[in-house]
Amino acid sequence: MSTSYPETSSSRAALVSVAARTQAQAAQNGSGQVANPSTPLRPVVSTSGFTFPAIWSFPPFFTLQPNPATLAHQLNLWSELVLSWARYERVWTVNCDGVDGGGAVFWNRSILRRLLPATLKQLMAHMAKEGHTIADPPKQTSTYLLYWRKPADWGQAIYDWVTDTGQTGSILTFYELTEGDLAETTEFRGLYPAILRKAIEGLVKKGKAQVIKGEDGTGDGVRFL
Amino acid sequence: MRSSPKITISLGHAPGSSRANGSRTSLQLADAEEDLGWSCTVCGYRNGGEDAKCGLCGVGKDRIPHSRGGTPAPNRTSSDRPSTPQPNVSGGPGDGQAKGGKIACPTCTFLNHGSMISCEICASPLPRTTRANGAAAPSTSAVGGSTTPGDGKLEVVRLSFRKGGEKVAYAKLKNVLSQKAWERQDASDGRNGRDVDGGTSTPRVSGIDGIMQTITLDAKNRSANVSSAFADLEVLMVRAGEMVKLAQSLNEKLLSSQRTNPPIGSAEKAQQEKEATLIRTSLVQLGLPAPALTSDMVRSDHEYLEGLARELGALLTGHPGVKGKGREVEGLMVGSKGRGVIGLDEVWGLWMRARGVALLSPATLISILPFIPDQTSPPIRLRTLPSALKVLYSPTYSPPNMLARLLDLLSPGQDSGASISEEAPASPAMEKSLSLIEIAAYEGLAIGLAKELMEEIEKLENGDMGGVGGIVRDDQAEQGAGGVRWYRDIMTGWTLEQKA
Repeated sequence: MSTSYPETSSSRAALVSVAARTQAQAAQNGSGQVANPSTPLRPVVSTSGFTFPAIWSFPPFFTLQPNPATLAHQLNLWSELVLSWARYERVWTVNCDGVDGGGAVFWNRSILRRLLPATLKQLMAHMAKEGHTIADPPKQTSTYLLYWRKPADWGQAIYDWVTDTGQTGSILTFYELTEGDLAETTEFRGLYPAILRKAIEGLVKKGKAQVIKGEDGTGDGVRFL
Repeated sequence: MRSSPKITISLGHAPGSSRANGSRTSLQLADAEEDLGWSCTVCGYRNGGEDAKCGLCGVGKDRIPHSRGGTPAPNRTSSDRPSTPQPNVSGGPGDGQAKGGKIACPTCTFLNHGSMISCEICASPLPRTTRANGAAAPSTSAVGGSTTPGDGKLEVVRLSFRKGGEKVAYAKLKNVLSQKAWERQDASDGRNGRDVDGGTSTPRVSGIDGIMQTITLDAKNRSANVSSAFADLEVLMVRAGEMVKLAQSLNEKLLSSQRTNPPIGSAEKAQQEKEATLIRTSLVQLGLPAPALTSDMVRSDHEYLEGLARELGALLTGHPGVKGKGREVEGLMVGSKGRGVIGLDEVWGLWMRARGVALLSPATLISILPFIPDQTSPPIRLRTLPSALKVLYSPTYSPPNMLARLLDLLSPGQDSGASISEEAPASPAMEKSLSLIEIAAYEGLAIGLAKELMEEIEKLENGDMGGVGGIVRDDQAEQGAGGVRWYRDIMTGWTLEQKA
C-alpha cells in the first residue's frame, strides 16, 4: 500500500537531479553489468583470503531495515554473502547465540558492527524458508545447518566418487567417507556428519545405497549399489 | 387604689395558625395539650399543638422557611411580637378578664382578684399575659404577663401606663397593628438578613432552617454573578468587532490616501510606507483582516466551510495583500517566522486565539481540512505521522522533498567544505551519515518531529521516491548522537560480484 504524496510530481525536478548524478557516477564504473552505486566503501580481504564485498563495510547492512522493500533486498544480500563465505571457509553450522556471533561474517570488527542474535535468527529463518539452511535439531531457532550445497548434491558427489574409485559393493563407514585417508582429496572431506547422513538418506531413497547399522560403539556403515 | 390606664390587646386564635412560641413565661408551665401535640420531623422533639415552631430545632411545623423570629424554647421569657392576624385593641382603663377570675400570686400563692396588679398580701407584682413590646410607648412599664394560655379562644395582653402617654401609644399601636409590619418585615428578612449586622432587629433564623436558608441565598447570589458575567462577555464581543472594523477602516483610508497623494520625495515615500506597514502589521497581529466568520453569516454549509478554510489559509500562508517587514508574505507557515510543520492542535489553538471570542470546535477544523490546499498559496496539507500525530505541513516538508534534500547531503562528491557530519573527515572510506540531531539542526525542526519525519521517509515506497534510493538506518551507532545514524540506501541496488 503506497501512500502517494502529491508533492512527488512537483518535486520530481529535485529528485531527478539527484538520480542523474548517481547514475552518472555509476556509469563511470565501466563494467558491462548493472553497476553498483558508486561509494567510497571498498571490499575487505580477510586473513583467510576471503574477500568481503564493500557492502559488508556499510553499517546499515547490519541493522534490519523497517522498510519492507529494503529489507527484502538486504536479506537477499546477506543470504548470498553467508553462503559464499561458508562455501569458502567450509563452515557447516551457525550458532546464533554463539560467543563469536555466529561466524566471522556476522561481525565486522573494523566498523564495530555485527548482526545481533535476534537479527541473525531472523536471517536464518528467512534462509530456511528459501531452503538454504535448516534448523539442526529441528524445531529450535538457535543452531542451523548451512546448505551451501544441497544434501542431494552431496549425495551425488559421494556416489560418483564411489563409483569412480570402484568401491561400489563394499561397505564404508561414515567416518571413512569424510575423514578417511582416501577421502583426503575429495570435495566432501570434513563433511558435517548430519549433512552426510542426510545425503546418504537421500541416496537410500533413490535406491543407490544401503545403510548398515553399526554395532554399539562403532559408527554406521553404508554400501553403495 | 386607682388603676392606671391600660391598653388591652385581645388576640384571637385562628385554628392551627402560627403562634409565637414564647408565650409561656418562666413563671408558668404551659399545659401541654397532649392530644394536639406534634413531633417535629427534623429532630423528633415532641411539641405542643399550638406551636408553630419546634421547640428544639426551630424548624417550622409546616417547614415554612421563615418562621417567626423567636429564640428557642429554653429561653422562655422571649420577647415576641404579637403574631396572630386578628388582634384587637381596646383602649380604656382596667378592662379585661383574667381566666378563672382569680390570679395566683407567684410569691405567696394567694388568689387575688382578677383585676389586681399587685398581690394584696405581699404586694409583689402579679403576673399577667403581657408581652413587652419593644415598640411600645416610652413610659410603659411592662408588666410580666400573667397569661394563662390554653383553653380560652381569646388571649389578652394588657399594657399599663402608670405615667401616662396611653393615647399616643394607643394610636401608634393601632397603626402598627393595622399595617402588620411584622409580616412584611419577616418576608423581607430573608433578603436583608445578611446585610443587617446581626443586630437585635433582625429576626434570627436558627438551626437547620438557617442552614437551608443560607444555601438558597448562596445559590441565588451565584447565579446572579454568572449571568452578569455573561452579560459582560456579550459586551466584549461587540467591542472586539468594533475594534476590527476600526482597524479595517484605517487601512482603507491609508490605501486611499496613498493612491490620491502619490508621495514625492523618497524620504516621504519611506515614511508613508513605514506607516502603512505599521498599520498592516498591527492588523495582522490583531489576527484577522476581516471579522471572524460565524455560521450565521453564510447560508450554505459548503460556503461556510470554504469561507472558514479561506480564513485559516490566510492565517497560515499570509494574506496576499498584506506584506510584512521583509517584503515577504508572512503567515504561520511561510515567511521569516514560518514553521514548516505545525501540529493540528497548535493550529487550532492559534486560530482560535486569532478569532477572539468567536470560537469553533476542533471538529470544525477537521471538517475544513480538505478545503485548505485549495485556499493556500503553497498548498498546505494534512498528514498523519507514525505516532498518530496529525500535522499540517508545507510542501517543503513533504517526504519526497525532504528525502531529496537529505540525499543531496549524503551523496558522495558533495563536500564543498561545509560538512554537516563531523564523522566525515575522520574516516575517508566511509559513507556519509547523518545523526538525528544533525538532521534536525539542518532542517530547523524539533528533534522529536525530525525523528517522526525520518521514520516516515525511510518507509517510503519506490513509487513515492521518484526514482532515487531511500534512506537506511544504522541502529548500532554511538549513543551520544541518539543511537541512530542515517545513510543513503545503497543496499537496494547492490549485487554481489559472482565468484568464479
